[in-house]
Amino acid sequence: MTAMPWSLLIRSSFTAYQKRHLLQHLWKNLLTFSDLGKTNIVVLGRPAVGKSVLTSKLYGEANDFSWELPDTSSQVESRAIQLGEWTNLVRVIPGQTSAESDIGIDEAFNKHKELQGVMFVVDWGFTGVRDNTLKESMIKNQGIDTLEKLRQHNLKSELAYFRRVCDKIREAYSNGRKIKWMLIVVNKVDLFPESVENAMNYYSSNSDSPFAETLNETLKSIGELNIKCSIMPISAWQSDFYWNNDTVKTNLGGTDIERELFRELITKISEFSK
Amino acid sequence: METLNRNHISYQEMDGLIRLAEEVSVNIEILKNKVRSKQVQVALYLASIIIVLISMLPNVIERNFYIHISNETFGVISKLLMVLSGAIFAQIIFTIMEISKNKLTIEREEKVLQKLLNMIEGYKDLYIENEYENESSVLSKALFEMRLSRINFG
Repeated sequence: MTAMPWSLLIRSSFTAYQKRHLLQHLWKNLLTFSDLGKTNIVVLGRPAVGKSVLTSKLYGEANDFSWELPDTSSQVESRAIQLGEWTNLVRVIPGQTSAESDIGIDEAFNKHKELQGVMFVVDWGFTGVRDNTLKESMIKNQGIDTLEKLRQHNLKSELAYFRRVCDKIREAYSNGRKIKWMLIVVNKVDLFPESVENAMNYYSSNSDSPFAETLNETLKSIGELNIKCSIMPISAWQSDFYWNNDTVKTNLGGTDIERELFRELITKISEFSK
Repeated sequence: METLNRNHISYQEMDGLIRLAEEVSVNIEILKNKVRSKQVQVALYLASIIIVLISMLPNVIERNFYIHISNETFGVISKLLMVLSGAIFAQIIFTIMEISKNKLTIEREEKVLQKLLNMIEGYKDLYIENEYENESSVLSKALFEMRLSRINFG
């Protein structure tokens, strides 16, 4: 009679060990639902670069037929996403400066030591302008009337935003928080399939671009061996890009390539997270 | 890189946009608090109606106040209580109407705030780019950033 509880205990412990990934997934989902979990991966980037869409794709909900493209996010979005064996709590911080984004950044970088990775989403200047008044003002009053001018403007703003993110990473390191990896996700590659190499080169630490300069400064200050850094191309949502009279057609070459890019991204994140 | 012929975004324009966002955000917060307190009011009114209705039962009055009530007295009391619960019910309807009116205003204000959210970030980028070489604008940029980080856009 006394042997029964012990065998039950051993058996249930063994089952729990076997199902540890599922249990951890459920636990993370519970934490996400209650908004009590600590951020493992933070997704950052300027507004309209595709952070929410990318995360929805990784979460799997964007493949659903009823899913609709999200509008500007004003709240921090939390998702429990299984990347590799384990589930991570991924938080998407709105690109705009606001009370919500400030609280989200502070929670991820300053409140605890659970943050493992930073995903910085960029789009090589193909950031759409969501507001028509602003669009008109940019074209008519600011002289940003061609796609190239818009790209240059967006790249400048992206660089300014990236500098702020790098400052946060450096600050976190100086406070003893060890962020293991940083992934620069080059989104919307379907808009520039022939120039993907150029884009990757622009964001790579090996180039002499201002972006690479900032990245190298950060890597040097925190120690290149302390943080893994990589650049991954992705196309979270394929759609044409319009600016004034210019149109760029989406041309990735099929959904197989899109899936392959996502597979590579997930493999890289799970490899980094190990 | 091509040089841009542009009309600079002035400090006043940026200030105006941010001020409007601050006002709208505060207004939404006030309205949300109002709605919350009105909802509590409705809950209290409902609870009081229930108490009134329960107290209308003759055996409840007898048991709690140790008084024997004649049929006529009970008739008068029940009429009074009916009037009282009717008044409370009217107050509930009035409060619910106020809540829905406030909710509509919140919805409208949130739309304005969403538009401002989309506009401000773009204008801020243009402002920073325009004033990049102007040293005096460093403080104004920092001020704008601080003011924006206090606004609740959600």
